[in-house]
Amino acid sequence: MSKDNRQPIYIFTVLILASMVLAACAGSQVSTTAPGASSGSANQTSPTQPSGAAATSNPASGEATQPPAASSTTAAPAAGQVKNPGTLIESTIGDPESLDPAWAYDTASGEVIFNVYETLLFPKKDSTTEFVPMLATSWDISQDGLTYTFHIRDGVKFQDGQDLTPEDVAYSFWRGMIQDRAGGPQWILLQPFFGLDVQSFQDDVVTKQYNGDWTAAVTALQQAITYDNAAGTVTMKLKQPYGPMLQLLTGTWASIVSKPWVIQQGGWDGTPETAQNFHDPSAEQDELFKIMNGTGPYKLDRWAPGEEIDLVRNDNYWVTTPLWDGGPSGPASVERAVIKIVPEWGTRFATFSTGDADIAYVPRQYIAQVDPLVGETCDASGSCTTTNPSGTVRLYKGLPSIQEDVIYFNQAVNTTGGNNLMGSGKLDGNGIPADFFGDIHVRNAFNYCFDWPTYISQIWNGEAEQALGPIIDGELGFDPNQAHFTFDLTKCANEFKASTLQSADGKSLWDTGFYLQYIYNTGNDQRKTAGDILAQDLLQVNPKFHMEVVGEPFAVELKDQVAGRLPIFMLGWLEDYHDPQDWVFPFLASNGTYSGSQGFAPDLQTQLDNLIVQGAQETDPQARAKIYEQLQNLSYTNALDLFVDQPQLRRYMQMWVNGYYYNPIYPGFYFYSLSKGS
Amino acid sequence: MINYIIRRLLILPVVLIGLSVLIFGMLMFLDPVERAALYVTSPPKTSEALQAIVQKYGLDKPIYVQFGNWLDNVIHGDLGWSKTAQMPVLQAIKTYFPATMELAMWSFIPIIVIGIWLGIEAAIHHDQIIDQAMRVFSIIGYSFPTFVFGLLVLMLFYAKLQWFPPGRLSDWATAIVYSPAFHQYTGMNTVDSILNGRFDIFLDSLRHLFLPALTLAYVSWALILRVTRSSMLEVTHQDYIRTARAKGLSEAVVMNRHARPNAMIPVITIGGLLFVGLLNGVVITETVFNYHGMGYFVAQAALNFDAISVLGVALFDGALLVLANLAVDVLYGVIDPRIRLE
Repeated sequence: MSKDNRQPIYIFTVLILASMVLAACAGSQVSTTAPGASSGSANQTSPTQPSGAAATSNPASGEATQPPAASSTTAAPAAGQVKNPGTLIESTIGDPESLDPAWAYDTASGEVIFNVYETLLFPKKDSTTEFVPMLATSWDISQDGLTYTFHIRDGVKFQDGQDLTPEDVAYSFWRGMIQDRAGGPQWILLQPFFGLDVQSFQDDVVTKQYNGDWTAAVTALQQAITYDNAAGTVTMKLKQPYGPMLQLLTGTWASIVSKPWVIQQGGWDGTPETAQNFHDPSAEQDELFKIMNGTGPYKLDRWAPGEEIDLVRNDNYWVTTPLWDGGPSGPASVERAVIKIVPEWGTRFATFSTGDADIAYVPRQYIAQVDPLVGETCDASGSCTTTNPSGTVRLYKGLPSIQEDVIYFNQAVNTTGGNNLMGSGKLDGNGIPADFFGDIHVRNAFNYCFDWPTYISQIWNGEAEQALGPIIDGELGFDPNQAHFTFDLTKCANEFKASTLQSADGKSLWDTGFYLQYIYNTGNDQRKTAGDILAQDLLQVNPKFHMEVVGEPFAVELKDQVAGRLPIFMLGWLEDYHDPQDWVFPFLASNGTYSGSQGFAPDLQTQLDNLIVQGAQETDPQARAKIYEQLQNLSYTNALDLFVDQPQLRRYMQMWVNGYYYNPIYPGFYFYSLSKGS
Repeated sequence: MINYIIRRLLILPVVLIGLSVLIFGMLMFLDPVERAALYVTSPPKTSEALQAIVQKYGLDKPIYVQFGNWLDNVIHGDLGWSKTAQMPVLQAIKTYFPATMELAMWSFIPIIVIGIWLGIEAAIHHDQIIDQAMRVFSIIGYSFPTFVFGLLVLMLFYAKLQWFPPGRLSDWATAIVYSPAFHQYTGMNTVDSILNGRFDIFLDSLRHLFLPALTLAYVSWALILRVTRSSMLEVTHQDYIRTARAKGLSEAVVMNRHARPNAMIPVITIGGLLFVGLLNGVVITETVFNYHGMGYFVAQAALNFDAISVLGVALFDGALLVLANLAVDVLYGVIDPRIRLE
């Protein structure tokens, strides 16, 4: 009887287990026999955003755990057998903030946008300085460098079927600049048209230049960028000659949208009188937040925030002859491109090792897990060697990045309301005064005490170069022979001894010692390690030199940084557009992102500001290079920061992914250039 | 009974207001700039840009003004915009809750059925080998860190054997589920697939549910097993059980008819709380299996200091908890006629 009574439980349990086993078997059949070609979608993306970049330092996407199983035990897809043909799946971290090209300012959004929308010109394959015509067929620049005329391509259609017109082009720029949302990218476009000191349309253009008259300001904008539908041209009149002009027209913020379509979606109608209503929307108020209609090779199929973005091929894509020799043409080779957001590394690694993800973002600390899968290793130029005949993954390594990690010194720390990051706040062995880093000897000493070789080998496996100043390798004005600091504990000690700082009772810095806190954003182990290395060497030079390495959540660090409360901290910078102007401004200008709260000496600051303006207005590359070299050298002779490293990146993808090349200024993978096949 | 239910429901608004006041109170400890960090991914070009964001979202207004505005919107049915989910909070809950509900259901069934069964077996075979084996089995499960167990089974059953993949659906199934031809009635794929007559999708979603459900079940079995066992042991030592045996009833009847129902009261209490816990979202399991439900959502929101999302979810969870407790109380009455809800 008791047996009878329990039977339903047994039966039920067996049923559940059986159905799940059945599901397992059925499922695996389905996934191999119903490939993307017929019904499929796929997903996953990988990051373009390096974990080291400041721009991406949101700790929420930090990697937390490590799979317990070794990668070598995982089943790899059989060689030659392509999983999910017709669908390219990128597995990555980071969700787009918005799909509106005028609003978006993060690389996750940028990757989606630059696969769907297009710009007037486009980088030539892997070049960062040569451009090919895209939506413009050609352009003329006037002698004085003030007028740019673009001939707009005929016969290009938006994905909703409407024709591209010069009016759409001009409208796209107007719309972006009047939208200029707080913290957005539009300052990049505002500067050439309204002046180099302009940061926002509302404050710097409408209020300061047009006395608060929105209509007048927008009218001025519409006179600066004009179109002629009959002639097929768009003309831009700059406020001053501007060296980086063409470069910044390749950014996603300069994408071209369709005017009639935007109006249909409830967007701005293009008249000056109504423009103010479309200024600074929040992401969700923006009419193009989650819809897209570009001219590009892919169309948006679905955006499931936090999960995935599905793109489908635009079968009517206008490119029929390659934009550069050997470039892709016709409709994209891969029917669907799916960017999957998988923040947990163990999970992402599992989907990559099984071949369900074609491309995966691999944070630096996990490369040892993936490397056993690598069969082919390629360099930045794309030349590959077979490293493991049974490997299934292709690795591109040594890819020069457009980011730099820097330890910043604050020469006039904000002490309002007390500041425990400086210990006692005095030079008494338990703290530092607010102007501690105002002493050039202290800044020199910290530089000499930093062990670059150890840091670069420990953190980057040697795949990084020492940064020589704000301007990175590969940029105009970078000189590999620029004088720079090297690790030298003797020089470090001598500089500390030469310091003029004194304690209240007249003792030298060397005899007194110091205590301060070095701040990094929690979860960023690279920045923590850099601090640990520096702290150790300071202690070795003098046991009285105490630098405590302290993590703060990104939000807290941001608050302290903009308030100028951090005496010494590490962050990275990822460039917006590929030009030295985008480096010297944040690092050296009086209102720069970092330099704005670092308290440089006034005379030096004036000199820096003048050079920055000169550099921006100069259009002759050689003359510009000279100016930027001068700025680079000033940052060394004044030891303004501790320039740490410029990392080299890695990209991992399945061997069946073809056509990849590395262009550092792409915000992500350009799916149009990729194909799948053995 | 009706009176009791009404009285308990009247508590609901008080609980919700208390919850939101508490959370808003905690916001006072955050600087406006810290809260603005939610809206920037990197240090903005200038601190003016950051100030503009602070003003745009009213983060520098007095906390009672912010609370008043928020409350006003909530009363009008608007829980605000979730920056984390990139959609309105209400829609985020509608999107993520069915996923969690589905996972909770599919893990709760094995947790309860197998947990109770094992617990009874352990009690019947008190201190015998089967009892000892259960003890070891359940203690191991209970002490396993969820993410370690989760990643272990993921490595074994997915990376190695490729049987049970992470996520909620395979890519081919995702394409179908989100196509216009497929009607999403509940957001729960196992239910919707049957309603749409797509058994291939039903099997596919079961296949994705297996590992997270197994993980949740294994770490939860110990609780149900132990409670059932000790409750059964206690009941079987009662006088009326001795009486039942004395009057010659078979052991099976004694156990199944007299002992078991009476031993279920604590199990229902624990089970109810467990189910609500599952509904609130299971952060680690959802993260490991890339299963986007409430736990995944609220964890991301909290990491981002996304107060609006956290508030919305807290209200939802608060309501859920009150209602689930009420349901458990009502269940007591059904199981045990001696309990009267007054």
